Amino acid sequence: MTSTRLPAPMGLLIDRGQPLTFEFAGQHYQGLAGDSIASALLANQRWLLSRSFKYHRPRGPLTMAGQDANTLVQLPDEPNVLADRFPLTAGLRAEGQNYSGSLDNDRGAALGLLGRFLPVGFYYRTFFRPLGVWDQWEKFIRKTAGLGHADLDFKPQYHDKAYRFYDVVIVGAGPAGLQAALTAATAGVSVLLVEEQSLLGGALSYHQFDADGERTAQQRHALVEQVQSTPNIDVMLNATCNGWFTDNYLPVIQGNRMHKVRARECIVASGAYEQHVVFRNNDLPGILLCSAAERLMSWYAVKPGQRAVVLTGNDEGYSTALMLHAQGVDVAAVVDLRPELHSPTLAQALAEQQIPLMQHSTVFEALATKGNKHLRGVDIRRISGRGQVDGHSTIIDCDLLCMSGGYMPAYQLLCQAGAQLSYSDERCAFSLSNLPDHLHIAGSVNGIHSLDKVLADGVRAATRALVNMGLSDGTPETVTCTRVVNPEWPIFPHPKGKEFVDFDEDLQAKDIVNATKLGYRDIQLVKRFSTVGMGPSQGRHSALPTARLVADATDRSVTETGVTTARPPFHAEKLAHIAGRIFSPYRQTAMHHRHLEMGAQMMPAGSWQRPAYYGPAAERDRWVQEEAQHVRSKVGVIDVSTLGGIEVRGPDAAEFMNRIYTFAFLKQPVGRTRYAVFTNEQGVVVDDGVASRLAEDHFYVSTTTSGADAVYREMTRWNAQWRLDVDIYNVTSAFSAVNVAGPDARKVMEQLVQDVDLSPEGFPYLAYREGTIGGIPARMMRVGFVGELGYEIHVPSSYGEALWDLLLEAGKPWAIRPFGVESQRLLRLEKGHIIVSQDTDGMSHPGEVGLEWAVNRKKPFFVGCRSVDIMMALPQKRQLVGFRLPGDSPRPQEGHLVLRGDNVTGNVTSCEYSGTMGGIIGMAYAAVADATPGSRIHIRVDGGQTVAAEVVSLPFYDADNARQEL
Amino acid sequence: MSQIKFDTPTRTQFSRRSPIYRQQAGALFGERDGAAIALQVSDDESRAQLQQGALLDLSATFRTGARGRAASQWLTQQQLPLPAQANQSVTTGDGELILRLGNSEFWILGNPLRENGALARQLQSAPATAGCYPLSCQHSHSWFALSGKCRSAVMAKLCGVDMRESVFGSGALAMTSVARVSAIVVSHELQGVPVFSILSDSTSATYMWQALLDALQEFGGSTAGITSLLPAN
Repeated sequence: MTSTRLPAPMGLLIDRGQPLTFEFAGQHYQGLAGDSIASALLANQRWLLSRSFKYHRPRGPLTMAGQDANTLVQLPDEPNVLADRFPLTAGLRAEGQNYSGSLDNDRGAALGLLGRFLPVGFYYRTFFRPLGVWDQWEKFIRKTAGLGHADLDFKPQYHDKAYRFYDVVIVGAGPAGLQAALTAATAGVSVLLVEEQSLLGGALSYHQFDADGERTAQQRHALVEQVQSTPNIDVMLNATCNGWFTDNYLPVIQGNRMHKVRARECIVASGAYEQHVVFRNNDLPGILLCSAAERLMSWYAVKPGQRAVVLTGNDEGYSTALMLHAQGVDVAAVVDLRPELHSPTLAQALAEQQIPLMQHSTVFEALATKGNKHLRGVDIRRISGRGQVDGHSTIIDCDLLCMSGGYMPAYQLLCQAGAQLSYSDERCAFSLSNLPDHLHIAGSVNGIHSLDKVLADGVRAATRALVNMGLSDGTPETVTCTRVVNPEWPIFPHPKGKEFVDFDEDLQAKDIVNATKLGYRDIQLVKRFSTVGMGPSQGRHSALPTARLVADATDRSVTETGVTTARPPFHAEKLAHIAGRIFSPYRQTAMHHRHLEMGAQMMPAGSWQRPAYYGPAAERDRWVQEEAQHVRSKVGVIDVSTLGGIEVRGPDAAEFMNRIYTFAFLKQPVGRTRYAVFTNEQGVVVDDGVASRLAEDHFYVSTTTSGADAVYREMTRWNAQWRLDVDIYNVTSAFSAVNVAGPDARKVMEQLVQDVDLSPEGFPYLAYREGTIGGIPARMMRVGFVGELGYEIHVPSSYGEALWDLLLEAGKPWAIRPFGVESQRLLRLEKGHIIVSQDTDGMSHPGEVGLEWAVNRKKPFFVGCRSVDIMMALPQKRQLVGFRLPGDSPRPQEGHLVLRGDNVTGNVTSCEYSGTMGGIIGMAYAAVADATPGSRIHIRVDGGQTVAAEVVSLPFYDADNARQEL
Repeated sequence: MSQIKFDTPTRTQFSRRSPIYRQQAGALFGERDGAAIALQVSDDESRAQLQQGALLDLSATFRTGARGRAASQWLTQQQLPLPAQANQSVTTGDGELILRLGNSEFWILGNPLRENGALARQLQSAPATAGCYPLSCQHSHSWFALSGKCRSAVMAKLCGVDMRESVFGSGALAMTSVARVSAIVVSHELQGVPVFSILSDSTSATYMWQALLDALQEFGGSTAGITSLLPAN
């Protein structure tokens, strides 16, 4: 199919030289570059775009501005796309939504015949009893609920976020917004103009404020040109400000990016939504808002119909009729809801074009072609009272009905900011007040409708913003507009119904009234019971008639009734916009790539990536056993750079360490290390490490991998109170570290270290030394975590990879091999060493986990000392014990329960098969009565089976520590 | 002024290495302060590319720091100009960058275009007196430089601080979060080229490098070596 277009200057957005072929509902069409999907379809006389949610009624465009749900279509990879906003592209394929069969012949349309059996709140009232009935209905209801289908093979697109900062942000680039931007920019401030549509000008771009539209076009051209040539005004088109947050924090979505905009001053010039008139069949394709018809002509050069009727409650409808006539549409009548003539000039203009004017009348019913596919005529009646018509019917054949039932301010952003909506009976309209500081309002959203006054209001709002910034001492003059653009009561119930208040949810006038009759008097309850305003258009067109209907039915004023709460987002936004480009920082040690080159299986440890073991994952147990055995028999090396490192320096360093950790540190000799346990104020063990004394006033203490930041934070917090003369410095990233462990460790070290006496006497167990390794400055400690002769070597992290290479090369004669975290866990388990947070939990005090020896009870204070004293004085309920099982027994997993009869007395914290011990070994919390070596504890393993493990004394391996103290 | 050696060492010739040297495969390397630094990453890089948008790894360059109540006094004795206030930086006549991170914390960054051995020896260690403690920022932090007119827009995708030229001009410094990693961002000039220096946790250097490159791509930026800073280019 091909389309014909109106001549220029109609068609501001289209490029007539660029035809685009596309497909909708299985048929091929041709549109133009610049078209939306909907405009291209309407240019091809394709009006039926979707089916309504509840009754599957045929629907066509209503606003042509992305403000309604009538144009939601399905793209191959995206449901619920607004066809009147989505730009047409070559080869685009779109489908309708919410039908059974085909869009044109929808079997679901039969639901419309059942309308009276599906009253408001039907689901709430029907499917909750008898008990269990929901389970029967759920499958059916879920199938019919929802719109469109998600493509589960969809490849996620790149979305991200960006921050932007401006002195003044203006939301809406209509005449008020453009003028406000120009006024603000004269002061030299940075200005951002945010416009939802793809062109500047707002109503100036489609509505004719003068008889022939010439002056309107000139005004738009002048304003746009000035804005575009002003360097300190940034313009964002196709951008939606989706919320207002405190201090003018504005999320603006444009394309795949969410801009997080900060503004010192914000001016909302968001305009007003033209409203529909409520009458029977007001949802037929071919019935649209006056502004939508104007957009179709002005933006897309699409002639919206051949024979039109205009139904209006204001003078704007007269302009629409004149514009339609000028573009070759036969305007059969202008039907004015108002009893009096407001603009003799416009009435005269209609008369000159021989367009009949019917005053104080309304369309009572729209007449449809077969299957409600399109409008074929209207039944016009004289208005006899509020919402009432007389019996005399005038039928006019037409294929287009343009309606304007007044305007509703685009209040959402302002109400999010705390503005108050009040209804004026005189103007039959809502207005906004009580704006927070630094938020301003201008134009039709402020109830100003005459163009000259709209421009003046833009100046006023911008001047007010400049005054706030100290850039103007002018007193902005208040702008008032007395024009009444809303008819008093554009709602005309019909005995046969189908006069829709909310198109999204197929809600009729009687549905709203019935909700109040059932006791839901509050507007918020009416919303939740009837679902009015809960659809995609979020009450843009239903809020005003609903407020009027509820107020009338409950005998209250419209102000008292109000509208429902407006919350962000203003427009539907994708989770991808909220997520953005997800930042997931990770940390790698200096040796990371060496691990990968050696075949390591990496495992996460907080944000760190650590080698678990080296070799294919399918043989995990083999590698763990081999690596552990190698450390026991030869020598291995493990990257321990992820351990936290904190320097404590200054005259009070020893006193500080003495207060932070449970052990005594005042008399720790320089050149010695000491185990350091950190308890919190509740006396719970929360971290441990090794503290080396480098000098009288200098300690270097390690923490667990995951505990570094928390320990550092606690240290600085405590010293904020203690005011000791120390510097606390987190050097975790500044140092790389390895542990060279095994009977041959000293031989390897001797290859590389010349300036330190490595003999057992010169560098004994638990000693600290400084020297160089292959020329690299190093801190060295004799440690015993894995239970073998071991050296922990710390070097500045830039040297970490070189250190690794040196050790692997020097260790070749002794077959040195790397071992991973899982192998280390087995080795330390054999030695009975705990891992804080694996073998401890949120209640573990030092006595429960065998760390009494690491607590100095003679010193006056350490963090948590009082709680430790109290808890250790109480009868102990559980104890961390070692247990063993035969090698062929089911292996308990960490977390498996320890039972005593029917009572849970603890859980397994660590468990692994040990080749060295020839069986399964582990640690678990058990009842104190079961903690004696030789006792048996009962562990429930996978499958519900219970195994009886023998409690043994710790450590499992090398009880006299002979090997680590070599 | 410039002292770049074109002796093309391998990336791993030195024991001290940049945490992201692997990210610059194929680059031509030179020595800087005892470590390899990328001189040239691609054949066509130039100062024009720096204007377009470029990311440079300066991690090899010498840097140190001192903090404590006596730190400013000691640094002043070393004839170093100090920023008057926290969150500011100054560039010395020799192209070194002095950062003031707080009232009592200072970082000294060497000139990436010359050897900084003399400065390193001068600042080898702070005096062993209370109130002046040396800092290991050479190893704890990577040092990247982001150039180009787009640099504020690039940072706007990663960081919540307003870094437009008008509010974050030369000398400004922010300790903030960049792509969810703690970082120090400094606005200054390198050989007359406006840049942001970004100093962040060296263990997250690969992540940070990739996040910056990802943000830079939109503007046609890429990686570059330090020779692109030379006026001849």
